[in-house]
Order: sequence, then structure tokens, then C-alpha cells
Amino acid sequence: MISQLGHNHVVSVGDLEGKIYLSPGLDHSKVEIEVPVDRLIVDDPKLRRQEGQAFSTQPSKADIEGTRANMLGSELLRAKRYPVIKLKGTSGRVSNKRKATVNMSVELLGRTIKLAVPATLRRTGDELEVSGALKISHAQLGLTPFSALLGALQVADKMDLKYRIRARRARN
Amino acid sequence: MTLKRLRNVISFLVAALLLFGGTARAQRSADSGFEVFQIDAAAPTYICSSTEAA
Repeated sequence: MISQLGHNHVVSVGDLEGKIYLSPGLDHSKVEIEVPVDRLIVDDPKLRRQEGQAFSTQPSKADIEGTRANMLGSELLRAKRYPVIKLKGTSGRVSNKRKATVNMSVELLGRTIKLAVPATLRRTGDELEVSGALKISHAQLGLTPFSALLGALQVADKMDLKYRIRARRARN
Repeated sequence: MTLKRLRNVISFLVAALLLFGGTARAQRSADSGFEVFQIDAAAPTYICSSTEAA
């Protein structure tokens, strides 16, 4: 019964701060992003719809608030002590199809975690879009999946991470 | 400290400052080749992770 209650979650952030440094040949471009954890959004209805059938139900407002409190709390992100997740990365070689792997350093909970993140670049004039997707685990991020009721309610260790970042060329 | 030793220490510090300054200038010069893009917070930008029930 409990497993059928549906504890699939989508966590997102839409209000990012950061810069992308595009090298002349694209290779070895750099990115710096800061994610204030208090801007993380739990179960945005639009994003849940994009995730398909497993996410077709929409949790109640109370459920969302509870999930968010658990996520920011002492068991997971410890937002009061670590209010910002910092990401820094440098791309490897960018292919003809504008694809690259970005070697990211993620500063989370006072630790630095290395991640290889696939990226596709698309540039239109002064606008740049970088997107990608990967599967990661809570363990890779040094996190323990949240559980409650002695483990009867638990989210899976694996996460699907997707991103799409749009940036505009800075004026000097 | 003798005057000679003091002069050596000062020479070392000056050399270190020049070296550091040169490295910093080289770094700024290298960085200047990059085009800088500011992430557009108003654009539909997101990082999203989804996880299913275990």
C-alpha cells in the first residue's frame, strides 16, 4: 500500500546564477554555477508531466512542503549550514556535433565531488544553450536517499538528472 | 640579520612578486580569449532531478 502511494519526486531549480566562459575553439570552455538550495523546487507540475507516467500524479501541497522540508533538513542537504551548491567545470574536446563532456566539481555539504557531465552546446548569436542528461546516484553525491517509517517510504538511490541552461553574452 | 642576508631576502621577495604578477597577467590574458556568457535567470533554465520510489 505504502509503495503505491507514489513517492517519485522531481526536484528542480530555475533561478540560477553563473557564467559560462566559451573558449575560441570551444574546447576547454568553463562554467561556474551557484545553486542556492532554498530556491530548489519540489514537484513542479509542468516538469512532472514531462517525466511521464510514473510521475503522472501530482502530490498535494502538504506533501510537497513535507518533501521539501525533508530535503533541506538535517538528513539530506542541511540547508542552514550549506546554503549554496557550487558547480565548476571545464569541458573536454567539443565534437563537430557540439557535444562534450564537462568535468564538474560539485561543492556539496562541504565536500567536493567530481562528475563527468555530458553537454550539448547550441549557440544562436549572443545566446547560448547548454543541455544534457545523466544518471547519478545519491551515493555519488555523498547523500543517503531519504527514508521514513523505518524505511517503508524511501526514494531510489538512482536519479535522472537533466538540465538546460540558457545564457546571454555579457556586454563588456 | 646581516645587511647581506636582508638584501637577499628582499631580492627574493621582489622576484617572487614579479613572478606572481607575471603569472597573474598571463592568466588574465588567457582568460581574455574567452567569451563570457551570463546565465539568464529569466530564461527557462533548469536543473532537474527525478527519483522514483525504491
